[in-house]
Amino acid sequence: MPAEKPPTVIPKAFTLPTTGDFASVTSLANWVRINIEFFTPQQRDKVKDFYVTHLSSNIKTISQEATAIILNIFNEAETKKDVSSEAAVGSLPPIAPIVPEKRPTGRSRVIQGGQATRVTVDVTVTHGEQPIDASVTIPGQDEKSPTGIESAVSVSEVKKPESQETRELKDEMQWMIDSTRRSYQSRGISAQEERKSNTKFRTLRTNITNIKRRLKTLENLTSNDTKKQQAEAEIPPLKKELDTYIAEYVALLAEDKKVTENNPFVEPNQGYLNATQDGRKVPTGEGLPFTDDSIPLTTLETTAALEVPSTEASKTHEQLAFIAAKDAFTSAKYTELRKQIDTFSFKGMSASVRREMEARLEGLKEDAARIEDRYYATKGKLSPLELAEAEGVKKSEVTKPHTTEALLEKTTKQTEIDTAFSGLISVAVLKQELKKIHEKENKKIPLSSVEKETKVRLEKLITEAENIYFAVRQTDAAYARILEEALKKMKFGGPATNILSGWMLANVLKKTEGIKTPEAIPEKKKRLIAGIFNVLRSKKTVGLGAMAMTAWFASAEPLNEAEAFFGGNAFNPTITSTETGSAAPDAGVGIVPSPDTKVSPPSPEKLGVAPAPDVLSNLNSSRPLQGIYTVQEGDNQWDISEGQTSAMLPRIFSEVPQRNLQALVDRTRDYLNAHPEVARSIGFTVDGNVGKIYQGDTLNLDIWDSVARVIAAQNGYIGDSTQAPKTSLRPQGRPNETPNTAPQRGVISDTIRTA
Amino acid sequence: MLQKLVQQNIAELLGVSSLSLYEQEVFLTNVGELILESAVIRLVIDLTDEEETALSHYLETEPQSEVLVEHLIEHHSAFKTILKQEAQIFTKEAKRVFTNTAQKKTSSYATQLA
Repeated sequence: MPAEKPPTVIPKAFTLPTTGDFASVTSLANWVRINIEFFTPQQRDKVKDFYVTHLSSNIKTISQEATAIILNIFNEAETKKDVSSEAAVGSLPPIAPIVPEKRPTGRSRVIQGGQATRVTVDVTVTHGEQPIDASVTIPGQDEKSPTGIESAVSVSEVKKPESQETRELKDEMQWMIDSTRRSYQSRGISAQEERKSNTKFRTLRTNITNIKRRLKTLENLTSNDTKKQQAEAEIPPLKKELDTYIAEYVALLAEDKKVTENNPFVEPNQGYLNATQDGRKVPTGEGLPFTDDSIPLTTLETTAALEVPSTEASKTHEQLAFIAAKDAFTSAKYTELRKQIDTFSFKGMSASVRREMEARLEGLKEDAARIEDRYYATKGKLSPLELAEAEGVKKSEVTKPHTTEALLEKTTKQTEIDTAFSGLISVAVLKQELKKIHEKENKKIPLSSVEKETKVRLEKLITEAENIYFAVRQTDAAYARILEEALKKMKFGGPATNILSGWMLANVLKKTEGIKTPEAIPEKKKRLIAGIFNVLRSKKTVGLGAMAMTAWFASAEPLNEAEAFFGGNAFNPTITSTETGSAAPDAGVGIVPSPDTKVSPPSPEKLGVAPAPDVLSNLNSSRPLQGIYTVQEGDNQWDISEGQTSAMLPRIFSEVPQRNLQALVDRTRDYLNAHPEVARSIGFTVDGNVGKIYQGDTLNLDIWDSVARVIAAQNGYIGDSTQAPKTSLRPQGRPNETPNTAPQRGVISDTIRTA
Repeated sequence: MLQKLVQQNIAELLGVSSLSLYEQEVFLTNVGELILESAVIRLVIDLTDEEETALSHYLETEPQSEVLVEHLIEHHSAFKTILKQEAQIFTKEAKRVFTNTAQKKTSSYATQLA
């Protein structure tokens, strides 16, 4: 643990920012919160007086609440600094009759769009003896009054009692806080010290950035005759000051690096930068002091950059081994439990049981924390490998190489396994469906015509899929291994949404026989293919497949519509004459038209399955599909709605005016909470709370979009009424039936549930 | 309309028309991905060293997936042809599997799978 450095004093050249420099009270508050720790008590008083005066005189309509927020931060900082609280309170100006009961810990929501930034902060303040939940909303720039932000801020009281969702959120946040604290404690570092260290970095970076920007401006001014002299006079002291800060920054980096090296759990401080050998800088995170490309790095900075590793490369072998051990352990446990949940879910697990199971998943996180604790309890006497073995992790899992190539290979293979697995579980699920019919037959219960039809269909699909799987197993050793692994996972359950994806994999395998087997493709090309796949799959869930389908249709030979409709060659009359040699096995087989291609797809009712909600009919619109989004770590429902994730947001959310966005998101959420059957069709797994999403959940953005579109139309959020479907949101299915639109859960990720 | 018909026929052919609309869309989306990826494999295998290097450098710019596909179509004339061929191969393969008399060795395999 590095020795605490003396507080950084406000440099001479440093000027206090005015509230006008900030987009909101929140950002101002954050600035104060970050920097207040570095001020001496006298400076704190000065800063406080400045802001209090400024707020009370310039920001009239938010005065009391906003001032209360800022003051609370001062109070908190002063308490931390062991400054006499009595003295601090005594110095408070009498302009704030409303004193916050606690620091605002509610959620803040920021909606960004173009120049607009709306900020809403939920706070609890005390008015007299009555606590009041309030929401401070600062509209975006396009919503401001002509006089600016101050007259546009509104405060609304929220008098309704705390909702279940809020309580759960608070519990979750508390758990995270406790977990973090425990982690810090296990490392012998207090949260305050950790934050202080990060704050020092941040402050230094800010100072360096500001000075460099100022220097750049001054250097530009040197070409201006009238200001040249003044600029040249100002540059030398600023450069000296810059060097001081950089030296301090480098020293801090070196100090932090030592801590990081000795602690497998500490990620390198975000904000490091890489630099190429020619001195070109490569920023690795936001808020860096060196992100302005037009300002070359000094030698000192370059040296610092080169010495400071980042990301994977900075981790020692021991760190990597330990992380692998921890991941493997937790992943194995998680997989096991996830399997149980999915299986039960398939059998119709109730929401309450599911929640209980989810709680057990939470326990796994505790297990991971326990491993960390044990590691530190041994004070390094137990190596990560020994510890992992003690935890029952296979040695092979721990000693896996962590080279880029190995990771790449692992990723590629995992994707292939997942694909195969996806198809296989579909087969397994269909088998279960078939089994039900067989059981009925065994009990001499007559089958309905629909069941008879389904039986034939299932038998055919299963037979063909299995046929190809095992043919592949016999001919391709490499993929046989993959399939073997996929087979091991077959005990999972899941909806039968893509029965043939496994077959499709086999199709690819067959086409890639000979020179195209993975082993035969040159390493360099394999890497390039993997790189392209990574890009393509990064947005797999936002309709890439649909895009490919479009390319497919666009590239198809002209199709005789009548011929297609009435059978004949259902696809392309030229198919048989455009074979591509080995890539088209069994080219001699003629195309046999399906006898019933003239028939329209049977209705769901005909097949004995519940019809989908009417919103699904929206999928037939001319809008391109967006596809399925797999929830990533850190995602939340709100961010996805706003497109603040790698997922493309449900399109309607980008079509409504900004002023309606928040209302639409809220109303859609409320609707889905109230209609779990619709929520489930999107892929939300917790009935009545779509805010609960988990890493690995698959959300159908198209259905989500359809639902939100109807709500938008009903509430007049979109001007063009033709955008809205003509149907109602009310599911039209028969009573007591659940729409057969369960989310696809084909790709299983052995990762930990998002906190 | 044309696309709907083609899609409908594919769904019919592959025996997925009885699935819900959503499931069909998911399935057909997967088909599209498969075609795209197999087209990429074929394209890269036939690239020259220079083309390979150029494409590698392009990937370093971290393009969006849509942009990448556009790039491939624009700068590699063979890609569009390959896409078309892959689509045709897929439909033919699908047709063969679902309409002709494929090998029926499944009883023993089914036992293994169960």
